[in-house]
Amino acid sequence: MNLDLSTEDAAFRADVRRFLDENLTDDMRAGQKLTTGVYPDPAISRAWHRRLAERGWSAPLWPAEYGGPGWSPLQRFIFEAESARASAPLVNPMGIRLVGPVIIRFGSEEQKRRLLPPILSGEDYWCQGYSEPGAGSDLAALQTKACRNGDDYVVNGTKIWTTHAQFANRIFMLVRTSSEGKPQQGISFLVADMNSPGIDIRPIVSISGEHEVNQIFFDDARVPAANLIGRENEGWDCAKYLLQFERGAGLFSGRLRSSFNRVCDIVGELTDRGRLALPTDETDRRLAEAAMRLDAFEMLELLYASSADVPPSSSSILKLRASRMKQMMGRLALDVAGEEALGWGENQSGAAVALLDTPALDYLNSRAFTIFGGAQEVQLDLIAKALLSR
Amino acid sequence: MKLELDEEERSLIEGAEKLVSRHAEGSGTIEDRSANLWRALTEAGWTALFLDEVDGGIGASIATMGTIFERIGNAGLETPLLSSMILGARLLGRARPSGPVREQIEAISTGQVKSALLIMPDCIASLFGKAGTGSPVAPIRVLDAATANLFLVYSPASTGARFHLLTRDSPGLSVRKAPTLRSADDGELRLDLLPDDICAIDFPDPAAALEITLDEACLMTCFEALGAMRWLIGATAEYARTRRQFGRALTELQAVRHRLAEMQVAHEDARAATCLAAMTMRDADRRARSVTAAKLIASEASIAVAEGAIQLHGAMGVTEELSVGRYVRRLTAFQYLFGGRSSQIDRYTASTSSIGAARKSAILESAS
Repeated sequence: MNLDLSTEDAAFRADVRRFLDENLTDDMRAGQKLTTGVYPDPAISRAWHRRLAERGWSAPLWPAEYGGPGWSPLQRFIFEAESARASAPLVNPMGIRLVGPVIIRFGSEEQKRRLLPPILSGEDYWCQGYSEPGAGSDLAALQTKACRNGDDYVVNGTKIWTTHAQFANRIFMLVRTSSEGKPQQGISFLVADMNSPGIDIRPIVSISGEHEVNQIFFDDARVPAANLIGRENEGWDCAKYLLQFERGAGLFSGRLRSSFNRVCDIVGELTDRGRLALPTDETDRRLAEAAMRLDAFEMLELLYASSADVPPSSSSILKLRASRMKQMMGRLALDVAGEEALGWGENQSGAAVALLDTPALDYLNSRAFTIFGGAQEVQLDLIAKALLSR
Repeated sequence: MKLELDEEERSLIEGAEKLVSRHAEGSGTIEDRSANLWRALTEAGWTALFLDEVDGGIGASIATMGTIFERIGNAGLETPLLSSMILGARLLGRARPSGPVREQIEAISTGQVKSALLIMPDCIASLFGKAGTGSPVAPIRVLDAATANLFLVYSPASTGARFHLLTRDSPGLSVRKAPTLRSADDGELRLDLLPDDICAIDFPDPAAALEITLDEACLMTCFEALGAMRWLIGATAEYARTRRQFGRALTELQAVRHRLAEMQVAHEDARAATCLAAMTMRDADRRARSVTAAKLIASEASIAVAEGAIQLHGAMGVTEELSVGRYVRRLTAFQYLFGGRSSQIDRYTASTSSIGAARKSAILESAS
């Protein structure tokens, strides 16, 4: 076992670094550094998505025939690590990482031709309509109905916690097309144009003061039946496929390293101002410990992505660990900043404008990480189930 | 980058594994079965795995050696492998080659002789932490000292620290049995005479040799701890599946399932950190960062697993009726061997600026 990079991979890494140097602007970096939400606003990320797309690097996990670059898991890892190091903006994952693979796997040729290129290029900006007020962890309990009427589905209901719906021109969603049998058996996967009549968005303000998520209301919204991905009532399979697809795609490391770099930047700035809340040697020790854990987490992610010796609950383990690490970083930033972190925007609208605005916002937002994408308690249940079934 | 054991490594491990499993079960005390395993390992030449080829060994990889420690840890057996091979024969392999040194290496590898390493105070902290200040005559805890016949002693000298080779018969040396949570074979050494040139062994760089030896030993104990954790998780899951109260198995309680899940996650954390360290042993800087991290993370994981195991076994968990206690005691000792939490962070921060290191991915950054 070794960590030696082959000449090919070392050359790839050099290539990635060169690309980042030549294409990342100061604005993009600054924008990412001040992002405290789950990913930056499109004003910051779309320009970067375009550059990536021009290079053919916007969809690392897609098969080559659909525009993927054909990278090995290690190369993907290298790309993510270098991007994080350079503070490249995180691109909205909804299109590239979530709906794209579903369309590739379950979509018709017509749908692939129509929907994939603008996902790849970044022209389309997507949001995800999954959760509902009555269906969070228990997603199968969703009630938003889609009734077939001529060439359309008529959609009625509501989706909640939709990140960036306010910016999106497209949505993918799980809707109920049958109430017979088990709840999972009556769910379909539909994509829609957010500009359709009958779709209304209501902002939801987070405890960080930011407007990131929304509630969407569907009032007789008509969605062409040609936007049904896969077969009617087989949408749950699409959702399950995504979970499998995500397994071993491990992309938390880069984001965590970004968070950590920000903490280091915060320490630097506080030190310059003589306002570090912890003694220097304690700060050093806290950073050391965080660095140790981050290295181990990176190794865990890489092991899961590239070796066969992986526990069946690996994606749950990664999600659980990554979300706790994120929260640990949040707490660390607060601890080093102390009182300096307590400022709250004049108009309480969130959105950091300076580095020292970020600790409080980051901390508050980080609490969501053990809730979305499979709450911590659900992940623990899954891990236990896998352990006990051996 | 190769993150899995290759075929050669696997077949070496399989062979050693069979031997270990044979002695893991069966009648007889732990001491007897451990002694039998050691005899089997030495007689069949498995100790050669822990020696470089130039010293007459097979030169197995760190990952192979570590995996064998994992298997032994899983079996709950206590052998002189750490003291004799890692802190003994492998350390001697770093000396300038000479007839006597080669003879000692062979004697240890064939099981004729058991060795122990003593690090004198005023030098570096002894293996159990800082020894008493003042008198050099104060007894010092040494791993496996009670059963050793050969003692490697690292001590200060005006011209720089050096290693000496002493035996039980050496004048001024006395050994006392001092069993610990870790092993019945641990002891206390008292040296009435500070060795000066007595039986000095010629090393090109004694301090460097000691550092890498201790790091390897620390890493091996991390692997062993992984094995012990794996056993505890398995035993606890099995117990929780079968134990019934209130008309149902313990596993039907979500709190119990979650605690088990946390133990599993802790083990995976420790496994990743240990693998990373195993792959970064060649470069001193990376090694300092990765071994300290492995020790810290594996120690923390072992607390979660050990305490969870006891808790989920209920009252039985705090009795000697089960094997749980034995594994827990050994893991508890592990947490403090080669330095606890604080020492690991001390060394990490001393080896590199935290902020500088923090920005680098340990996996992708090489020394150059």
